[in-house]
Amino acid sequence: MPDTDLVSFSEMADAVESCIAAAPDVLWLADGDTGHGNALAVQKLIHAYARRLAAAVLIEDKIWPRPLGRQGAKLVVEREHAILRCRAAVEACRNEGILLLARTDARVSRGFDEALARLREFVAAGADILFLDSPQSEAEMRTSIEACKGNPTLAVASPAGKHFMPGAAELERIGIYPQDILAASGRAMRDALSGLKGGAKLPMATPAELATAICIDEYPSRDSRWPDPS
Amino acid sequence: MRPQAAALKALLDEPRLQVMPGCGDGMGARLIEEAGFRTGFVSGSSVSAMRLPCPTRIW
Repeated sequence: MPDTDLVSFSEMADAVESCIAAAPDVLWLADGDTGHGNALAVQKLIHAYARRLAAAVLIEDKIWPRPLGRQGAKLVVEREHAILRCRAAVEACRNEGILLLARTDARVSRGFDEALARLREFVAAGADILFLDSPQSEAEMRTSIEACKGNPTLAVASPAGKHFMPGAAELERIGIYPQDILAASGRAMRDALSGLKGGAKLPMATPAELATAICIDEYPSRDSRWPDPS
Repeated sequence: MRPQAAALKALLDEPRLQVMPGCGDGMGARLIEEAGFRTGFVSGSSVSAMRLPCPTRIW
């Protein structure tokens, strides 16, 4: 389903654990969304993700739970509330020794000036990495980066996004591609099933390629160490 | 600071682009690592899409 905030904290924590355990050499940013509740819930989430070895956690200023009947609008909490949430997140991240990525979604529903003001507040509160959702122009992106006073910032390349996106050559710091694996997987699964129904058989991972993807070779040596008696 | 956070901070202090692919499960994460990316994103929208693909079949 689309990202409608119906995935619970525990489902997310479980996914964070699977991903990080599967690829511990990668430095992971884990999606904390709104923190799934009040300031204490935000801190609980950050502690949980830190224990799962996230290097950074993303916390945003959207309303939780998401108000329904608003045509999917990205609605945000009031600025003072957003600052409070950010301060709680900074404290938890400092205590855990990890980084906070503070995101504002205020651009769409409250305008650029409000979003910019929030970024400045998040920097003042001690957020390590900043993200303005849905910048509408290069000028907005540049102004928001300047407001972050040298802190790293993020640009999201989402094919469904209604926002300005510069080319990779123009970006420094972080370019995040949240949906490429998801979109590629969706296409590949449909292609494979169509092949089973008599359609064109498109290339898939060979058995050897799949074996390395899921580390099959590592299993037998462990298996043989623990033969079941009789 | 935890070592993974310090490593991420050092990486981001370099004035160049870090491409951060997103994923929603362990296999995606594995392949991000295998492809040699230094950073990755556990994406809420990907987790939602992969775990709960169709609301009307869930409740």
